[in-house]
This record gives sequence, C-alpha cells and structure tokens, in this order.
Amino acid sequence: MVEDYLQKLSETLTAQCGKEKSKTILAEVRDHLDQAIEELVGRGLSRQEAEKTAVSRFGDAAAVCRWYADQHRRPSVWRASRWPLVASAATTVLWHFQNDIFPSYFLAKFGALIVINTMLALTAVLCYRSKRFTAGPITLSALGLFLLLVGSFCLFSVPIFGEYGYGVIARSSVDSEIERARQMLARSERNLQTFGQGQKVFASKTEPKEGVGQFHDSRGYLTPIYFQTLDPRVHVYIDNKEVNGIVPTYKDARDFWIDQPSRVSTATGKSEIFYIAEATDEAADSRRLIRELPNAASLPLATKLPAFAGTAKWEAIFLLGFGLIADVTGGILRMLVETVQRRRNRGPLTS
Amino acid sequence: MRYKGELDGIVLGVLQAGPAHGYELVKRVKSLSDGVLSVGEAKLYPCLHKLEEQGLVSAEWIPQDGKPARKVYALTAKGSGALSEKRTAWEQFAAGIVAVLGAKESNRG
Repeated sequence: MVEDYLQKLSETLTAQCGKEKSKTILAEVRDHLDQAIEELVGRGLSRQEAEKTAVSRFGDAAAVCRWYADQHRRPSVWRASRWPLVASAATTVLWHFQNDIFPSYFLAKFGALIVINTMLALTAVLCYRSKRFTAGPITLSALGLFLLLVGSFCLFSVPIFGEYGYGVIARSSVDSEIERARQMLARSERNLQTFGQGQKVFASKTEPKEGVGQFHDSRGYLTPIYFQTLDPRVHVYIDNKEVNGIVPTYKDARDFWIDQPSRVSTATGKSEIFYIAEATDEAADSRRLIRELPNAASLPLATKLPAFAGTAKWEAIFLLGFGLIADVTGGILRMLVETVQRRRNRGPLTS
Repeated sequence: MRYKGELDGIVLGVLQAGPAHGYELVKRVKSLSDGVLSVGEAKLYPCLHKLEEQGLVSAEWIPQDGKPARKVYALTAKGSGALSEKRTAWEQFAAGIVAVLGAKESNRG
C-alpha cells in the first residue's frame, strides 16, 4: 500500500518538480510513513492496518502534489521567465528598429549587446535563485518572443527580399531602401555596360582575402572573372603571373592572389574586384526591390506572415540558446555555492 | 487586522525547542498544544521546504544505522527573527480578539 502511494506521488512530483527534487521529497515522505507505521504497529495494529492508517493520515497524493505546485513551483517558474522575456523583447525591438531609434548603427549594436548580456546575467541569477534548471520557462519565453515579434512586424514592418531570402524592415525605412536599391541598380547597370563594351572593370565587396587563395566561386558558377586594377598600388596575380589587363577564364584562373599595400582603401572602390555574375544578380535584386517595396505594406497577411515568422524564428532560437546557456551557468553556479557552503557549515546538528 | 502564516509560525515555534525531522515535528505540535493543534502531515513538507528556501530553517540529511538517511530541520538566525515577528503579530491579533470578545461579554452583563 505504501509503495503504491509513493509510486503515485512519484509520478506527479517528478513531472512537477523534476527528478532530483522529487527523489528527496519521496525519501522524506517514506521516512515519515515508516515512522508512523512503526509507532502504530507498536500500539497493536497489524502491519496492513498500520500502513492504511499512516497513508490515510498523511493525505491524498494528489493533494500533496497540489501543495507543492502552489507553494513551490509556480513562483519560481514565473520569477525565472518574466525578465528574460522582457529583456529580450526590448533587445529585439532595439535591433529591428535601430535605424529609426538611433542615429548611429554602432550605438544601437552596442546597446543591444549590453541588453543581451544583462539578460544573460539576469537569467543566470534567476536560475540560481530558483534552485533548479528552468529550460521550460525559457522555452516559453522564446515562444512568447516569437509571437511578440510577429505581432510587432505586422504592425510596424514590411517584408523585404534580400540575398538570403525574405527579411524585415521598418515601414518608415521603405523610402530610403528604395533609394538605395535605385543607386545599386545604377551601379550594376553601369558595370554591366562597361563589361559589354569589352572593358575590364569591376569592383565589389567580394574581394578575396589578401594573400594566396584557391579561386572558387561560392555559388558554383563557372563564370570568367575580369580584373582591372584601377589603383596602381594594387597588383593581381593569376598562376604566379601579374594579370592586369587580361581576361582569363575560370579554367585559366585556378590560383590567384592580390597583392596590395595595407593602406589601400576599399572604400574608394578602386581596388575591389567584381564578378560579372554578381552584377547581374545585383541588378535583378535591385529591380525586384524597386518593384515590390512600394506595395509591400499592402500585401496580404498570408504573404507577409511567412517572412515575418522566418525572421522571428531566428530571434526566438537565439533567445533559447542564450537562455539555456544562462540556465546551465545558473545551475553550475548553484552547485559550486552549495558545495562551498556545505564545506564551511556542516549543519546545525554537527556544528 | 489579520494573522497570516499560521503553519509557518507553528513550525518555526516548534523548532525553537531544537532540531527535528518531519514526523517528530507533527508529534511535538500535538504535545506542545495539548492536542489542540494538529498539523496536516501532507502540508507540513511543502511548508518546511518553502521555509528552507527562504533560509528560515536549515536542513541536513543525517545517516542512520541500517536505515536510509533522515532529513532534520533546525531554526536559523533568520528564522528566529521571523518567529519573533510572527509572535508579535500573533500577540496583537490575540489581544484584539480578546478585547472584542471581552467587550461583548461586558455588554451582555
């Protein structure tokens, strides 16, 4: 009978309090029941009667679990989960609307990093204080953040097509984004036109790393590459030969490197290398942005939601990762503190 | 005025006499109160664990010969302070009740 009772108690307590906590509670309850049974048997009851009386006196297993749920679990859960949710939501809002809130990108990035780190520390402290791992609440927080973000995007943002699929920008940034796309299109068309005239120009931010490198096109295109080093301080080598002024094919250009003084500024655009395939892609992307962005705000929700959910998903995963790191940190911190405390103070009965 | 946290106060009060395990606490409450008070056994343990979390009691697993270890609770300094506060609150509460009950009796008289 006692075993049945403890089994029932164990099932619910494990679900509510975790395996470790449940184990210590059950050990205590077992000790309590053993003492009660021993005393009742001493008074003349049979073993079976004593067990029945002890269990009935202790109370219904479900009621015991309810007491733990009310007094023990809920406050810890919410204490540990509410701040990460608030902090991460604030960080994410800062991050996504930084251009409208802050004049400086770096200031926004710096601010977001401070909030993220504060959140991490705060979560670690809360996990430490709640005396157990709080992966459940952190997962709930991540889910809450996901829903909050999708809701915020629906109100304040539009989807934008980019290099890695759809992203999100603030509605107030649409005009400046269209202007940027126009500038990008003009540059791409200019470069393509120059190529069409048989000239060798080309620049972009896909410049290979300085030094020797095996050439490969990250997208797998077997397109020729075209070099012209407009900056006299920059020298391009292919297969150990300086290639300024020639137009090699991919086959010819198995190895190349760029030799340039460290002071050459890529910001001038003169020392950058540009692949023709990228010029084509860039022009196509720019045209698509110019065509889609003016109507992005009025797109049906069914079209916008996947883009919003896609962006929010990564933020939620990011929070989950941070939260779990903090969770483990809090757990380790607690174990260390408890070990030190046990060594310093061995308890009231033995001190 | 309302007196709160009766079970917490009773547990702290009983531990004033010295460290005890859960079963012993139940028996002490009965004997100290001459059988007037009885603590719900199932409610006692969540209460003890809560007090332990709050630092009002400390607990230690004491090994026993041939039996599993037993968890024994003791009042901490913080717990003594909390007990004093509870005692004061109770005295005020009891004084209020006595005054009201006494006033009713004198009205009748």
